[in-house]
Amino acid sequence: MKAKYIAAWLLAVGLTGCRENFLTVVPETSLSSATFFKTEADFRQAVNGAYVPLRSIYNGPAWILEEMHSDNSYYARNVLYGAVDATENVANFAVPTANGVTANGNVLSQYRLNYQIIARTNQILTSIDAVEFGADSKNNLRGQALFLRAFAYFDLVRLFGKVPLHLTPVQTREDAAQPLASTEDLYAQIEKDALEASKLLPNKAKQEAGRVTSGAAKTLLANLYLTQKKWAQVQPLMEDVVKNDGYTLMPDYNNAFSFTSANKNNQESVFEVQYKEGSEGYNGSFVYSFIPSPISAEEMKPLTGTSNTQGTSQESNNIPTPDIIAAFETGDKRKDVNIGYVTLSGSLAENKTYPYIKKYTRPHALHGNTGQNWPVYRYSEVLLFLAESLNEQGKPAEAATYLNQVRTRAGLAGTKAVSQADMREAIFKERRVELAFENKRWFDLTRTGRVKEIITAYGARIKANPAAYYFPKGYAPPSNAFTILDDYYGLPADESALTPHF
Amino acid sequence: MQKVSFAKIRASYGLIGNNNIGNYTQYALVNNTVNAVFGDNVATGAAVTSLANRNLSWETTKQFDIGLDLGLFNDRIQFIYDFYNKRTTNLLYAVQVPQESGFGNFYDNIGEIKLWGHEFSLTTRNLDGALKWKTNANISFNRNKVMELAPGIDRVYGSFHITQVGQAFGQFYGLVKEGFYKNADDLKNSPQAPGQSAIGTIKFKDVNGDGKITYGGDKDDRTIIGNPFPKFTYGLTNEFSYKNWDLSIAGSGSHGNQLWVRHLYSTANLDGVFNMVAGVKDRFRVQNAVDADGKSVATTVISEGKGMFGATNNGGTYTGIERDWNSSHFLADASFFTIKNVTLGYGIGKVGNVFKSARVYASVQNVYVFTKYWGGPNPETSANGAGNGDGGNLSQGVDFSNYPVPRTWTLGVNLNF
Repeated sequence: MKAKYIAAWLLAVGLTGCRENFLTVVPETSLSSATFFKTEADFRQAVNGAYVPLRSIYNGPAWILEEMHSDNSYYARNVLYGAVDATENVANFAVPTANGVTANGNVLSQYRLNYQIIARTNQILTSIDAVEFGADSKNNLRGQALFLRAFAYFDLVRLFGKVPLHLTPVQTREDAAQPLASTEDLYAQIEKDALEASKLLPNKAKQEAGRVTSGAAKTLLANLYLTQKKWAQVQPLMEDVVKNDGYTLMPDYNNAFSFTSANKNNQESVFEVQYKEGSEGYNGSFVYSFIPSPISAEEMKPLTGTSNTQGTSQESNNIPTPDIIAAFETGDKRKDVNIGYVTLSGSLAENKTYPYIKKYTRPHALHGNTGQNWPVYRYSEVLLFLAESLNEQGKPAEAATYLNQVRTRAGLAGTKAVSQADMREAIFKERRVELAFENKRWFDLTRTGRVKEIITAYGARIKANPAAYYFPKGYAPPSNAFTILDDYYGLPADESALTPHF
Repeated sequence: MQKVSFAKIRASYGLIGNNNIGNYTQYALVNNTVNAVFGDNVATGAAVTSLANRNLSWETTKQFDIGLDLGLFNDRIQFIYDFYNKRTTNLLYAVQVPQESGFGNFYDNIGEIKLWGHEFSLTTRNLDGALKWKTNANISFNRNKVMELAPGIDRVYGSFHITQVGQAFGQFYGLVKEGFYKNADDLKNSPQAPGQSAIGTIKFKDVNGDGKITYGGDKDDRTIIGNPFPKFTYGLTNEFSYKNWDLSIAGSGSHGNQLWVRHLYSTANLDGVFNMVAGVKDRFRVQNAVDADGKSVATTVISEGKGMFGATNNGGTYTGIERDWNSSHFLADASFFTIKNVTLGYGIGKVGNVFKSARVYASVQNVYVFTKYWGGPNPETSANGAGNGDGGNLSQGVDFSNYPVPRTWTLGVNLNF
């Protein structure tokens, strides 16, 4: 009798006890994608998280790959310090590359950080439409995610030419490796995302300071068109920004750049990578890579003004070359803002006085910890984009108006260039000095097809006179310096080992 | 006296599951402290930090054992033999994925590993009179082989290791060191690493025969260069007793395994920021001169050194690819035999009315290590896991300069009530 009851009870429990999700235990102690991405607040946090890799990109590999890989800056060889060849190779145009692949660590980290942005934005963009919330907020968040994805791909396509294209979050192990997309396909995706972002995002007046705006998206899109030489499409975008988005040049070039907390996201700023000084971990430290070394605490003090100043004994990078110092015209106010000088008693070079990038070296409180933002797009570049697009369409006189706005602020007379060819050269030169050390030079060389012409001559100058490029006596660039003058870097070897596609 | 006093044949077979997956590994976890800064404000940010795998499951091991216990001549000789054969399938493994996915790895059930081994133990009572002498000797041969990794994947790289189908897992991987470029002729007539090789710098083997030394990529010259697993391990214990005296001597050893001398990355680094291993003073030394193009080149050999450490490139402090490219330069034979313990005791018997028996003894732990290992004081070290940025079963046998094992002297008294 008893057995029958038990059997019946077991059967009843067996039939009714388990719902379909009985075995699906959702974590209660940690957040997972099963419970996240459900509310407006979740998406706001996810968008914030997608900005974060930019801090690492601009603090680290970006200036190595995009500024030191040009005639604007070099390293100051410190023979007492080693294991620096990954960065020296970039500056020396000698990155060992075989079959389109390189083991260079700077290349690897830049690649991976950009894909972190892409993975985070893909997650947002595939799940945001299914969640109901206010249209203004949703457009703003979608617009930011689209901008950041386009921005990351734009950096990748200009560095590598061809890279894998991911537009949805990776679900399976097989999805993780995608074939290389062509440059054209990548351009098309960047155009689509940046265009949509420019329509969804509010302009600078309505957006929280520091986030991307419609103006930033239009500038990114114009930058793409410029790279593609679609001049007629650059012009209306930049005219729109000039007329409607309320940017103006800061009266003093020095104030166009952020201090450790003042002057951030100012009226000239279109987009800046945001840092915050302090112990919370949102600070930058790139300035400390740029201050020449070996430097004593006493020599450092006037540059950083910190309370706990220490010397450094590293090999310093992004040291302005004699070439860029000479590129400033007489009377150009920007020269002294960009270039400072420091004398290092501990240097082994014959000339112990080194130039350094002054516009980022601002007084702050804590050693090794700065809050200066990195300028990505400034209004002066909008003006120069517009000037370039007008000139390339055969309107050098109209181009001069915008070029001269930039020159006037710098304390210079209007340009003497009249012909289209002269104006092209004038704009190219102006971009070099106005945007010095803002990671623009390498891409200006590649998009104008002038890498071989300019870098070959630059390399010859270094080899002829190593001492002028900060080498101690008896030292010189390695024998393979200035031998690899390709427009693109090799893809990272560590990634190549994991994907069947390259 | 019976010749065979005891005999037993044992066999077993079983399926074992391992559900040590970790909590919620099957989900994509979200970290909500990935904060952004806008102006002077910190804004809470969130990001997915791991890839989900909803199909993640247990790993399974099929194990077969067979053994023989044998006692001969009244158990004066006892012999034990075991053979095991394990096949583990659906291994739980964080498979590295390309970071174009935004993530470093993907937890999955992959592959199949076969592990097998023979273990022998022999215990003999050599002397059974007033002087008693007992010996135990054992030896184990353990092997493993990767039968399958994931579909489409035939190898998994670690920092210094490779796990490849058809080979034992976690083999050391790198270039083969051949020595140093001894002079200008040697440099000219040997394959070089373009832009890196100079007189006095490390010379590697051109494994693929293309005339160049290449690290990584399609023309890779790297190969399997060593094995962290021993060919066999063994132990030997002798126990003696005579009247009230007892003495035991125990030792164990390992043969045929190698260690990756990981700390050379720092301790052979001439940058001046670390203390160095003494051998660096006997490095290859060259005189640098500036040539017609104004570049610094090695010309005259001052000393070839002792063949362990090469010259710096370009006259600086930087040893270049000797340090940065994994090679057999870092490998050391870690075979050893250690006398683990020697104990000498003397039984006193009854002490007064309080203690039934007493024994005084002296013992030494870790008495002596016989080894040719040059990488550090302890050939038994392995820093797999914390400390060397690597870890797990696939990356064993790394010496990251752990503390040496101390030699311990003990004097003691045992008292029984």
